[in-house]
Amino acid sequence: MALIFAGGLFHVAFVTDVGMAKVDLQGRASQTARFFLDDKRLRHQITEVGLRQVADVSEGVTTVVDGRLRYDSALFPTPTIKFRNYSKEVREDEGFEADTRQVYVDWLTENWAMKIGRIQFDWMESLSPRTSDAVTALDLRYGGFDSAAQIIEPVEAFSANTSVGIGSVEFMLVPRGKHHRLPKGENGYGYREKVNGLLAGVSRVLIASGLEGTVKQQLVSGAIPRGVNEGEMGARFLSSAGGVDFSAFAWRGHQRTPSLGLTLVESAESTEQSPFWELDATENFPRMNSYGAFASYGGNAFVLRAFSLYEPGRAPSLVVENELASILVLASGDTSQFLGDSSYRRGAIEDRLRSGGGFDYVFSKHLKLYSEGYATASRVTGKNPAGTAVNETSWDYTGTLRLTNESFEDWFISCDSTITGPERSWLINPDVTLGWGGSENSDNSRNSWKISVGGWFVESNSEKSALRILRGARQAYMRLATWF
Amino acid sequence: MKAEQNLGWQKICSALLALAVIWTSGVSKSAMAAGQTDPKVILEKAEVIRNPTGDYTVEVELADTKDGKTDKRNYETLVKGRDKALVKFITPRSESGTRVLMSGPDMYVFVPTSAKPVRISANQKLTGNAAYGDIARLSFIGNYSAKYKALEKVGGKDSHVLELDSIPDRPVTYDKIEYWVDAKTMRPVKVVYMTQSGKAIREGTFEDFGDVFGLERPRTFILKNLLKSGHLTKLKFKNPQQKSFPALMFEKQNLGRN
Repeated sequence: MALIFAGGLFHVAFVTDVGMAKVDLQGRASQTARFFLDDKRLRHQITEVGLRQVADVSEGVTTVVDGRLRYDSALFPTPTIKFRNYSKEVREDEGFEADTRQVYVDWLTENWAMKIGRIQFDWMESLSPRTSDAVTALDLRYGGFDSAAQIIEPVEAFSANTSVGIGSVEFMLVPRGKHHRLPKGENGYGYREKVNGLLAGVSRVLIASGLEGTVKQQLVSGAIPRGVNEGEMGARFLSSAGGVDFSAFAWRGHQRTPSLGLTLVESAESTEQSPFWELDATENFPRMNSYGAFASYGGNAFVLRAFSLYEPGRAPSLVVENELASILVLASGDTSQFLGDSSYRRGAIEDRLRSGGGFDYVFSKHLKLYSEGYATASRVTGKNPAGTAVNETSWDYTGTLRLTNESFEDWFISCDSTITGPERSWLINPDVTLGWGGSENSDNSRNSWKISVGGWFVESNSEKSALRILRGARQAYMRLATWF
Repeated sequence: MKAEQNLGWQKICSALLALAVIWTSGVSKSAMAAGQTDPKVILEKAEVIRNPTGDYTVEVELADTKDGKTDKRNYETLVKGRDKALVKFITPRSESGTRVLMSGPDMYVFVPTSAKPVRISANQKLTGNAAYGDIARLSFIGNYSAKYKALEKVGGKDSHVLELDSIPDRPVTYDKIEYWVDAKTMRPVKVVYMTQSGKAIREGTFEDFGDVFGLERPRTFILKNLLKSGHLTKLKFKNPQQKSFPALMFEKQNLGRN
């Protein structure tokens, strides 16, 4: 709330200072109920209000303030609805939040288009969910469900775009990069559940190995380091000729998904009589570069797309500190039973290449098709937990299909589906939305109302799939929204 | 018998004479109007009236009436030259912030919830009978090849009828168009949009001519669905203003800007 207030003050001050020409204030409110189909899991009852103010302060200069307020009543007890399994961490992290989604000044001149402030951006040109782990940070607390604007983490940034020769170049500077936002507690979407299970498994092996004393397990939430040298930046080139669209970018940033570093340290409280150990899973977000290239071609009824994304020098998702790895290997022999197949000793590097394409076709309003498929090849070099040098290459694929239907007046029917392999996982999201007008405004337009009913049906047992975080978080939802 | 034969010859001669008169009058008429049966010239003149050529902005009020129920929407269109247009959705509120960019053969949409522009095909409809090209009043020149079909009377006035065929790889919503142009004033009169097979699907009429940037131009465009009776879409173009825009405003990456 303070952020919205601060953003509003900045906005008002700026607008007042330069003389306000035209201000547009838009509001939106929604109520969303989400029910997990597995009753052991949890539910959400989210009330959300958003306000967006856009002011044209002078020729070419616009300011934007966009804020969001969220309250999840299902996380708090009521006389009729008691606490379910939510922890204090989850309530604190997800129960109530108020923040600015965007606060920036947009300055458009004859030769430059610039933005400065808190912005949301995404340079990936792909339909599939969570394709990039490099450029844009996402809010994955709820598994990444929801629209892009809702889950893209805003960052303070400066961007400048200018025309050059046959295209244009855009520069982006982000002094403080962000990582994907993950749940602070076990909220039913798998991440914490996975980490806690991993730590419990390692603890059991350590105790079975004869390690004396108590082992305390904990996830140490990491962050991208602050500092002048940790700033992120990138540039992209965009061009369009003969109906073909082309763009390419290079980005110097940080890994957005955490690389979990497992360490075992003797606690400062430990004594000879009562040894006390801390088993930490520390989230690390190392420096990395990423390079992307995209092309598209559009006809009367179709669009063809292709993309490629290269991300060298990533850290594997699970890295075990050398001494701990030695203890685990000596104790169990086969660490894959509790660490999985994708664990390595510290220092291992993963290079990843992701390439694919898409095809969209508009048959009529009765059927529109959007599709995309891509393959990801990963090569990890380093040492496995046993200390043996490895040079492993693996690959997986993801296919996405979206169908929409607008046959019926005021109804919008869609179905999104994603499938990954070779370790099979899938997701289906059917959705039916009914829209209607509300009270008449002074400009003859009407407030809009929409009610949506749908579900996210997902099955994911793959460690490498883009859907891995979702596990079996099957849910049905109903959403009522209005814009004013 | 001879008299009958003479009468027969007289009839034949009269008929031939009549044919000759008709033919010569036709020749002289077409000769007089030689410059005006050049489809390119007619199309160019009509398009100059239908669609201003410079940079400008115009508010578009769309009223879609179907089964007696009217749905109103408002847009702001920014046009740069003949092949670039940016359509901003104003109302309904749920669609406010949506943008559609038409730049040469490329077409993109930016929906605030998606946070990035997405390329779309030209067949994506807007709402009701109208397509994005109707809102942006994109020029037929460069997107269609024209053939002269006939001279017809529409509302008691002579009108040239042009057959427009879409040029391959151009982002047009309709494959074929028949375009009626007032022979005297060169004002656009009406269009009939057709499928590739020649089936007429929409009929549009240009109305409410008034002074726009120094020329009498149509300020209302009414689209009638020929496949479903009672479905009308009225587009009113209001408050046009000549204004120059930076070329960067019509680049894909800047579509989400306000």
